[in-house]
Amino acid sequence: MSDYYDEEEVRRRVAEEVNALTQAQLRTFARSRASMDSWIYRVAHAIGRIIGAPFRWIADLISGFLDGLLG
Amino acid sequence: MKLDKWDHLLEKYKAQLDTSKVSDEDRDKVFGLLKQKVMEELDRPTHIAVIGKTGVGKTSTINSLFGTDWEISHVRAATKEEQVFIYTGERGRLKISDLPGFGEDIDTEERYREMYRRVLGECDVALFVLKADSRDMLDVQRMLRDVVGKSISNLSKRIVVGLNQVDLVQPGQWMDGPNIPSREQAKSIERIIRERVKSIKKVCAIVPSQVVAYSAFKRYRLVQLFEAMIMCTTGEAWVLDAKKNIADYLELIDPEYLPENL
Repeated sequence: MSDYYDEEEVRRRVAEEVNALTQAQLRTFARSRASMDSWIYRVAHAIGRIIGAPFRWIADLISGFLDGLLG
Repeated sequence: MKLDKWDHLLEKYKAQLDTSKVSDEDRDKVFGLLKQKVMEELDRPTHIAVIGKTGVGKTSTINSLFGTDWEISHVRAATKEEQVFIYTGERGRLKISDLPGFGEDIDTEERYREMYRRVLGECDVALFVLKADSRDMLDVQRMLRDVVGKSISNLSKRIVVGLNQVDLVQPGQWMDGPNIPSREQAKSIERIIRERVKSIKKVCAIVPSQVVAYSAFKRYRLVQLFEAMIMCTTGEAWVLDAKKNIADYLELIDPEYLPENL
């Protein structure tokens, strides 16, 4: 068996690597997002206690803002 | 993070906000407090311990995961062997503890163990870099058994073992155009991963997803290596994620081989 792939196999292997990379990015994003959500929950509660604004409003605000900042 | 980016986004976001539920004054207070909290998180240096012998590619791995646009200050050499660096940039701060490889000399063995225990106990995630084609696992097993395996904390869940330089693994040969291992090399890499996981599991309870074969030089599977680190993070994973700047693997692939839908 040859050590090298034929043209079609090379494209398939590259596509597999690209797909694996994309899947890893998605899982990383999900983990990162989950940890950010839990952080936002804590921060929104802390800020809500200080200024007395509705928690949901603060949490949505922080979430949307961080998406823009870090996305 | 540059303040002008923050202020620019803030103005843009403020303009889009539905402020019917809260006064302008409260809104400004929220943003002020939020800025303080975010800055506190990003400025807290995420602590990464990098372990490995000289020449395994520790620095190139860190550079390929986090970029080279950091201002790096050498904080201290706590011992002759341990180097601590603070990376400061727009994305916050990173603290990198560069730990020496094991098994160099019997005189240093116990001191190294103490150092490993201390740093691994403090860090957010530890990256143990090995050369993929090195079969010298006895020192690694000893370290994992004596430091990680006997620890009462969850040290084993905070460690990622990176098998670097898979492009040099033999038998087989790296294919430069498509930037992938040849058929035989891919088999060699799979075999190496199986063998390394097996030998590590003899002494320490880690799962196969904590062992990642990659090449910093070819930028191959760096995203998977970073994913493994994120999954092991003890602090805020999003803070580490915000600091990444992973070298683009696709850039090194001849466009002729890339899928059309990219």
